[in-house]
Amino acid sequence: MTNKGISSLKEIHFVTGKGGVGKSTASYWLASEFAKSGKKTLLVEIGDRSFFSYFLSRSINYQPTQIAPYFEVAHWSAQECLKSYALSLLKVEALYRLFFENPVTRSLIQVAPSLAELAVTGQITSAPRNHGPHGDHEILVIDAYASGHFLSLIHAPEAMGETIQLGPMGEQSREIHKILKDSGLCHLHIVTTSEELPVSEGIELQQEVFKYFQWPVSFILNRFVETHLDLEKVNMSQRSMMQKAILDKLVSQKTALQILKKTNCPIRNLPLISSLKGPEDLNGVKEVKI
Amino acid sequence: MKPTAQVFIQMGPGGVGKTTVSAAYGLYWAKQGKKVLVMTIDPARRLAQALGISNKSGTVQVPIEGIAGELHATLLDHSLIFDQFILKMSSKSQMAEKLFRNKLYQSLKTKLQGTQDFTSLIELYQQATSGKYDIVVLDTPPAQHAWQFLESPDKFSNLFKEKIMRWFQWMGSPDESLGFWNKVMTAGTQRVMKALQILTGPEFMNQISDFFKTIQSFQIQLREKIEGAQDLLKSPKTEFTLVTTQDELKIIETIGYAKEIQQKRYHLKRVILNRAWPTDALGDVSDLKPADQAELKRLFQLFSESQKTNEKLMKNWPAEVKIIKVFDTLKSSHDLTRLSEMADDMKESWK
Repeated sequence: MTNKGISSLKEIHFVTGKGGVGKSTASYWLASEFAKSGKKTLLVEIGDRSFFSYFLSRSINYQPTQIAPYFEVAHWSAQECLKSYALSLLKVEALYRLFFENPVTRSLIQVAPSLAELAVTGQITSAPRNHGPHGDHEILVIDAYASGHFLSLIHAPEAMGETIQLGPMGEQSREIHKILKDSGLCHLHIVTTSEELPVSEGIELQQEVFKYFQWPVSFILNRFVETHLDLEKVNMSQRSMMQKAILDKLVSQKTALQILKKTNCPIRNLPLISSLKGPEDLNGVKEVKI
Repeated sequence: MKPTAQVFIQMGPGGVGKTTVSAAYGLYWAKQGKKVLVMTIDPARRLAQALGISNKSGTVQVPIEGIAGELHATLLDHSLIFDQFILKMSSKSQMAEKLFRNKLYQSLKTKLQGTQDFTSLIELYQQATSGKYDIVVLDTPPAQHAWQFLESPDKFSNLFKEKIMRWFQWMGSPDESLGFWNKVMTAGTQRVMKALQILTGPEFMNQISDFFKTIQSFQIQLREKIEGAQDLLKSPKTEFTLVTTQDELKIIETIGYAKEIQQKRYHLKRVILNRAWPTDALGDVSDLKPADQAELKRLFQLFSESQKTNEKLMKNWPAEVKIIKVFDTLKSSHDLTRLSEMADDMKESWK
């Protein structure tokens, strides 16, 4: 990631949704689809802990790892992003080491508000801003935080830009915010399952993001179960506990689809995979067309 | 101040129903005649939905007829908690006002992330020592945040240990001689401060210095509260419950939390396996059309298959931790009856 010059980045795809809906696996699937179509894709996870290291059974770090043609994966923790930002400004390695290997700085970073969010959004937008180290990818897929924390993430640069009027940090923040406001560049995918709460949280999120950022939004309905059962015609009162449980799932799926359709956003259905352990279980997974 | 209330803390991955479980706990104890407070940090305010109260901030008594105790619920307003906390601590009100005017403080408590764990913990400590409740139930924020919640007391007490406050004393006040402080500080410290200034700019440095200087005047009280909160988490009267669902990745995440909780010597008492899939057979489907029979059998296979690995994973728990299954699938949604049904499922975990 040393490329400087004109950015090759065409699209940033953020993936979010309520906690536990399968954001990471959906992000992986989305990124692999881009890569298969021949676009140079970088899948990035931004949490403190790396899910993909577990999922791919190999160490995933700040520097991208290639896992398939046109397909790279990286883990950008806030700490790593801050380091990269600091290094690009301070230039001198020794100074930066002194800065980051210092206990005072460490505790400051841990408690200082939104510094982490700023560093992460800074790294994500580094290519279009032509600032700091960045790769030559065409597509970035960001496996982002869950809904609430995700909103704080994308609002943080604006808040910081308003708070700090002078100096490089304020300037950077306003630049990052400008890139995030680019609805031609940024896209949002909201992952949900059929349950009522993730669906309603997803819709709240879509409205909020549309209001402030006008990004194109699509929904990914995860763990979708395809069936030709006509629920209207099945007599529900006669059913065993297990049958009710199964039918209940199908009913909530139908309701979820109806609610999501009202948003007029595109919906993609990802099938339920009975045992999802690694990337091989996602290879060849097709979205369910209905 | 000694905590007078018994505390239940619910932790677990996102989307497993922690808030609902917390509310069910609260309802159970209120029915047993206790005065209960349920605190939620979830920004989606789901507890409000589950309890049939909506869009109210502050503490609300949930209107339930015919129960022996009282159920109170609160949706934590972090900004308000922060202000009240500062006001309570400051001996001089102009100190508090100075802090309220600080831009960093304003951002800290409103727009920006990073303090929710701290405010939740402080509020938990305050409520548990208030003498108003027999039981306080805390619902923690999901996933990535759950770790941060456990780490937050240490983070804030580190701040004092590292004497970060002293670093900022010389900054931002024109009447103090910079030269003197430069002499006191080591060369290394000066270089770090210089680096910080290059990275952030002078305005940010002034704000942050003001912020820390003001906070410093509350140091003793703040430290007391943080240490009190730390003790509260470690107290045997504080019981941790892990909530998870029957999803492989969630179970693995939950096992990770269990290790963390036990390493910190907190008291992990139980794991709630929420939305457990029924274990019975498919049953009679002969009344259906042959095609539908076959389809239902296929779906049964599909769902059962996805449960097998999870059953295996759920066996590896320490002996002292109880595993409780809650069959949530067929319960009515968002009402007190459902919470009551859930509490019945969990009842054995208190015996």
